[in-house]
Amino acid sequence: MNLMRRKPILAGIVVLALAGALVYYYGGSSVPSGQAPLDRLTAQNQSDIRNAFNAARDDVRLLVFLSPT
Amino acid sequence: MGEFAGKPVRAFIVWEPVLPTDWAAPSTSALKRVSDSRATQFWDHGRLLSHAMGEHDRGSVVWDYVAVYAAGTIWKEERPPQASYSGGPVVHVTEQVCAAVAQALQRAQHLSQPNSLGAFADRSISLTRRGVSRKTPDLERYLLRSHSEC
Repeated sequence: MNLMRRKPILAGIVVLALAGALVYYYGGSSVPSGQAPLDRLTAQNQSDIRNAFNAARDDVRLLVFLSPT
Repeated sequence: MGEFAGKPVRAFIVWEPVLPTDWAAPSTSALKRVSDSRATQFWDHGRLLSHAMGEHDRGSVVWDYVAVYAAGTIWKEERPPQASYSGGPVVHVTEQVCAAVAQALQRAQHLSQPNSLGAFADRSISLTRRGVSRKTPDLERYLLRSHSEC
């Protein structure tokens, strides 16, 4: 009887977790206001970051490498 | 970045897939972690920069890493230039990063003041490197004036 009651709750938790994961991963990649749109680097446009870096040559600059999760 | 509000500091954030859960580009909520308008964010799906910096296996992936560059540093080659400070994991080196940024800002400000000794010295060194002169008249005048003031 207990198992019968728990099943819907467990199913609900799984559905919520899946929905959360979908929103997190596929909910878009919008940057905060005031920033340039997210630049997706490829072999063709790899120099974008170098150009941006050099364009700000008068400033102190930080280069930070992170993983999304 | 908040500690340096109003200062000439820029941040370039490179997101790259490293962990098994990094299936997709950074989400809006991940990108929000860097909210300063002086930041520019990149998604490096192929870890192109990490490879350019020497990645050759899982152990050599460049990530959770921060580098600080002084004003005037130019990125010429495929890999980023020599940093004035670099380290990681990011969360463990925030104090060192702040100190490095503050130092770089101080140096930039020092050089931007036309009458500072540092500015004269740097101009002199630059001219010497170009083979123009070992001591410029400007530097000479400055040194004489400083000496007489002392």
